[in-house]
Amino acid sequence: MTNNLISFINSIFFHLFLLAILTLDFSIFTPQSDREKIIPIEFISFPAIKDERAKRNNDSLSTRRNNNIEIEKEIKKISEQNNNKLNLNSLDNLQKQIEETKFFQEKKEVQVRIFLIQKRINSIWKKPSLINQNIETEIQINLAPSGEILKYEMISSSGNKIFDDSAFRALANISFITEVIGMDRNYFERNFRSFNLVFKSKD
Amino acid sequence: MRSFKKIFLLILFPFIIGCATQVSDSISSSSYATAESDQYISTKKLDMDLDDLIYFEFDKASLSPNSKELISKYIEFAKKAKAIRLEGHCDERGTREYNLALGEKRAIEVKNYLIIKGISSSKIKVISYGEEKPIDVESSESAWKKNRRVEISLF
Amino acid sequence: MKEILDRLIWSLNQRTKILKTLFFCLIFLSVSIDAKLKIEISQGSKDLPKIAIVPFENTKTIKISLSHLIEENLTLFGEFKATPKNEMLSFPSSEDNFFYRDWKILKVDYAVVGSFKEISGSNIFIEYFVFNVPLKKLILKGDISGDINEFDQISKVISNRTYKAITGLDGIFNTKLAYVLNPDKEVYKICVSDIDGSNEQVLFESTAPLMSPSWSSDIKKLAYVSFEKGYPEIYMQDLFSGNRESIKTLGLSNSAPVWSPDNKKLAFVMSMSGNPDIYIYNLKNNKISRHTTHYGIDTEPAWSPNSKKLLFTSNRSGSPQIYELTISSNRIKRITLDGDYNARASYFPNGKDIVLVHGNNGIFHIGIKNIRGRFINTISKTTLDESPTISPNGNIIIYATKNNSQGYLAGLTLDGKSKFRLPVKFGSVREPSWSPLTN
Repeated sequence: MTNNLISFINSIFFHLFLLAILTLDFSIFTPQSDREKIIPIEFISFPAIKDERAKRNNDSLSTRRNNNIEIEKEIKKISEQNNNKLNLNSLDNLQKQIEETKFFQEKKEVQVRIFLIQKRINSIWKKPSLINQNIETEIQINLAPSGEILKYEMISSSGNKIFDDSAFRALANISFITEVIGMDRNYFERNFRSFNLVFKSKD
Repeated sequence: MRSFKKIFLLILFPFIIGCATQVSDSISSSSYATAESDQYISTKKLDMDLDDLIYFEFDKASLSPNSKELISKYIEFAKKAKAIRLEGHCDERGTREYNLALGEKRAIEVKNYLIIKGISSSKIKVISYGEEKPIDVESSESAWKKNRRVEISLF
Repeated sequence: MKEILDRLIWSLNQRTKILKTLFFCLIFLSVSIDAKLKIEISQGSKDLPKIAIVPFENTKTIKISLSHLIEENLTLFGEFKATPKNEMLSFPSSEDNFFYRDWKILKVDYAVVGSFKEISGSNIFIEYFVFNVPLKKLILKGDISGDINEFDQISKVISNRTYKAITGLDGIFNTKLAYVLNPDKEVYKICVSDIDGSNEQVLFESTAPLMSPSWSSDIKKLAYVSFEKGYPEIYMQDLFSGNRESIKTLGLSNSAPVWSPDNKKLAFVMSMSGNPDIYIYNLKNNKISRHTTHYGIDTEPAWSPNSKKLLFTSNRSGSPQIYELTISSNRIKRITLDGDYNARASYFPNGKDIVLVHGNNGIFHIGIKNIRGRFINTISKTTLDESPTISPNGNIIIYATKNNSQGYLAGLTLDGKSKFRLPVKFGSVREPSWSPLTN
């Protein structure tokens, strides 16, 4: 279901991209003075989409690291663009660029925290050996900004009681997710106030 | 076009096999023949000044030109002998039951060559020991080479 | 003219603006769809679950430690880590005096407690409890009575039930293992022992090679191949009476017998004039049917759990590969594609996965493959691994391997957390065959 949605959104993006390019071509015909007002489309950066996809498709540590590097690069690029185009761009445009930068910063921050949480829970979850069963349990967790687990409940069961129990056992062993401490409060509220842990029997 | 034909044949292949094995022959218990006992074992093994081991490649049952030459030296004696016993062996690598079958294939290969050279097939007894009776029990290339063999004995 | 052009440009600019806003809207929309953060956990810890088996309280002085036997069983295959007695903070004997906090401090995952009392003479009654400590839950409450001289058997029953309560899988502590023992060059033995290697019994001894032991599904008989008459022949031996009978066939070479799970048939390999093929011997009416006809090698049959299919090894493609035969239609399907040597496959109890011997460049490992999947996952590390046999619960594999030309049995759990060697025997051991579950 989510896959379908993602592909659907991607296709919309693609069509928009084409449209955008078309409009760009037309805009070349506008007089020099007016071109300043037209938003530089090359800035509507596609790496944003790329990053989304990469995050969904790859879970391994190395790609995640690469992602982080990519994100950093992106931030650099954008800030450079900011500096260069400071005088050329309208205030409105600058505002958007700053938003973009913030957006990437948040992404980066969240990515790092996710990685740490994964590492921690992987280290305490004693997965039962269920050869060749591909099942997953989803548990919703509500956190306080201090990292304290306020509540956790099962959103969807794997159908295997032993497996569900093992996930709960892992959570019963921790009362704090300290990995979220010290992050921007807004980032916390948006991402970690309530999130889901998906325990999978297979990679 | 040719590759298309190949693909078509490949697709068809399991069906052909399926059809071929459709006729599974049932053998009723009354028609069992008791397996012949090795009468020739009691007779004395002939001593010859010939190398009685034929060697093979790993997972292969085909005879090398050298081996064929060696077998040819036997023809003269084999014609006079009452019985010929061919014992197939394998090295320890690979699975045991498969090696048992492979040893048999090796012995049969030698048998077929003898038949081509004019030896009566009724004289030839074939048996495989798979990897159960190695000459050298070490796990080394040289040991494996010695163990992949068919032993010829004339009676 | 210029006016019109300006208008056009203006409208185009507007359009671009709208499109741009739309574009950003969509970006944020896509984020908001995904708003709920999902963190996937799939690896899990490498640590074993910790289990504490508290010494069972007894009313009189019974010397044998039942808890010790249970602990030996449960840790036999390296699936659990036992908590040492001297670390325990309390020694509860029932639900009433069990306090979770004493065990949570020790980070124990499961605790087994119990007590027993003599009823009359040598008869004892045992009551036991299994707790899931982190979840603060009693997961099993059981009792058993038996003779004090059958402590070993009682401990196995308790171990099996505890194992089932913890893992959801059948306990295998009272299953048996058959194997071929080759103490010196000229002696071959078919042996049966308990799964921990104890209580070894020799079923048959010969100076000619013995091969391929296979259990009947009622665990009353064992089929194997003997060369005692100078050629390979299949024998079925009754474990209790010791009666042996051979399968009389036309072929001079019979091998690789395998009992069907429904106990009605025996798949085997017969070679008529140098062409080994798969046959099935019907034990009810003594009829034999042929199921492969290829001139190449067809051998090593293995039954599917529902007794409707057979896996076998064939070199019809030029190298040994695994094929699946549907018995009713004799349809044959190739299962393995990768590697130059894939042989001796058998099904897992789920019927969907297989274990096999996977060879590449003369190195042989045990591999696992989904019957429909493409890839073979090698799970053993030594180089001459063969004859894998799967535990009836599908969680453990025992296989034969070699070290300095000495054969021994090794095993592993499928989650990859544990590897073990079976007790060393005097001589070379090979061809392990795990018995089905005893009911």
